[in-house]
Amino acid sequence: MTDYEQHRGKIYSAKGGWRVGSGITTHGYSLLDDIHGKCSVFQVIILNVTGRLPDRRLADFVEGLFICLSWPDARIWCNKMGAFSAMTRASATAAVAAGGLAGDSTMYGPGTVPAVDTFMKSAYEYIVEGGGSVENFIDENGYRGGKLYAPGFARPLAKGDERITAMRQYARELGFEPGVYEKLVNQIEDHLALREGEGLNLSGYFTAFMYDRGYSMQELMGITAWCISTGVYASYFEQIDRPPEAFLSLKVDDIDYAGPAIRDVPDRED
Amino acid sequence: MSRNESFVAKARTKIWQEIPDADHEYLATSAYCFGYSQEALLEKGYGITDMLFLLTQGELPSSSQRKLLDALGVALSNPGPRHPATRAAMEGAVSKTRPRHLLPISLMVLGGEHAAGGVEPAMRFLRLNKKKTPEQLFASTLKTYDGPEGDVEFLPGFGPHYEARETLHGNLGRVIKRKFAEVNLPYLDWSLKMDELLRGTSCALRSPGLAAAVMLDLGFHPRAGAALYQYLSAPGLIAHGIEMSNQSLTSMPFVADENYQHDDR
Repeated sequence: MTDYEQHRGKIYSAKGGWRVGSGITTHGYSLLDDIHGKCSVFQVIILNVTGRLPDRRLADFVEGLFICLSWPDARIWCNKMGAFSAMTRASATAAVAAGGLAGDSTMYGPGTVPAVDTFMKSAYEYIVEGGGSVENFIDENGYRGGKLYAPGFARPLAKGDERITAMRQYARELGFEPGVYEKLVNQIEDHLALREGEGLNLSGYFTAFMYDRGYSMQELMGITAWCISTGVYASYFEQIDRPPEAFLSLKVDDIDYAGPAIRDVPDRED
Repeated sequence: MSRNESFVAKARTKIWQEIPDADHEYLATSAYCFGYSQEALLEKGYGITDMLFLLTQGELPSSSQRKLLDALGVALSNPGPRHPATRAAMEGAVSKTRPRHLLPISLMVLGGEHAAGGVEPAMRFLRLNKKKTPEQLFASTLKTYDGPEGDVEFLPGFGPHYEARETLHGNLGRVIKRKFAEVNLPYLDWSLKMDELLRGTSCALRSPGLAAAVMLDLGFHPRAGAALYQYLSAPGLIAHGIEMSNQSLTSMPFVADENYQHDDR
């Protein structure tokens, strides 16, 4: 059982901390002597999530993922939060927080990882450990209500994903070899491409890549928590100097009212 | 390759109808909520609980529904100054976070699975199990429950707090039950029975469980559960944040060096 008395007015940290006058340590490193000027911010994010300092190329690869998600396109849902925030003259911090939170979605962003995890691990058990075929696995697990349901594969709005080509190329340049999970999702992708015309999505590719390097689902959700936020900056700063309502402006009749007709308000019962 | 999905040209809503200004198509002169004039609702003395019910269910509440929702509002009105969401508001306030951010910050914290995020699963659990007796589920769950360590739930909406049985929410639920003795509240009855069965264990009806039961008895859909819980808990979060917002940084404890122990090697 937890001894809550040990936690009253005290903090025990395995992460690190600040001693006034003597510096800051993080996971055994001196932040200013060992990390600052020597590591990238993505190395520090991964260190703070996992407690393990990754080598620079892995952090660069993760940064590549963030860049793939940094679209300055205000049609994208999380980016719209940036534009909406600018319309009300919310602060840039509020805008980025709103956009980041919007990306905690089951359709895109880090919120997709749990479903990808479940699907990928069941594929691993079935195909890699159990020796089953990709075809049988997809037949048994890849459809819901007659529609393809394969978290980690297919994406909204478009078929195919040019970002995966870029990420695969970058992985090669950085000297990463595909591991067992990446080979597995590649096999599934080949099958789905023939059968459904669908491919891997970025979440599926990235999850497989990171699982091959020993990261857990929870760590992945932490590392990618803010992965869509860079585009939000663009949408916010595009809008912040424009007239407040000059973003997808709406006339009253631009909303399609489909509710009850105007009716009398009854007297209120006590 | 685009999927060529067909998107609507306009957003559609059954909730709100604005009447345009004849001279300016972007401006409104009045508004209707599910067909009721906002001005007439004001004239007739409707209140915020009526509006919450109307907005989320499409009809005005009966007197009894309004009073029940009000009662739930009182029960949830303040998570209290020890709750992480309230503490977020208070710590933000003394550290001079802009006051307009205090509610969003604390509501984000309140969104966790041990708070608002627990309401929808509890509502779905209650709906799914409404034909089973609490006794049946208590007996079967007891066989597999690993214990309260880590505040693991016994069942959705029921569990320990500080790894022990906290009676606060069951007590509030029993007051609601007494006040509404003539109203049929099957989900609250079921939940209070389960709470009784849990006497002698480390578990009890938790706040999200109480909210789930009353919300179902009021006819709310599970999808609405988390947001309604956040809304009804907001007054306390606002109040604690505002109370601290003109206080000095030293108005909240700051852990001294000797009590901040880190072993990060």
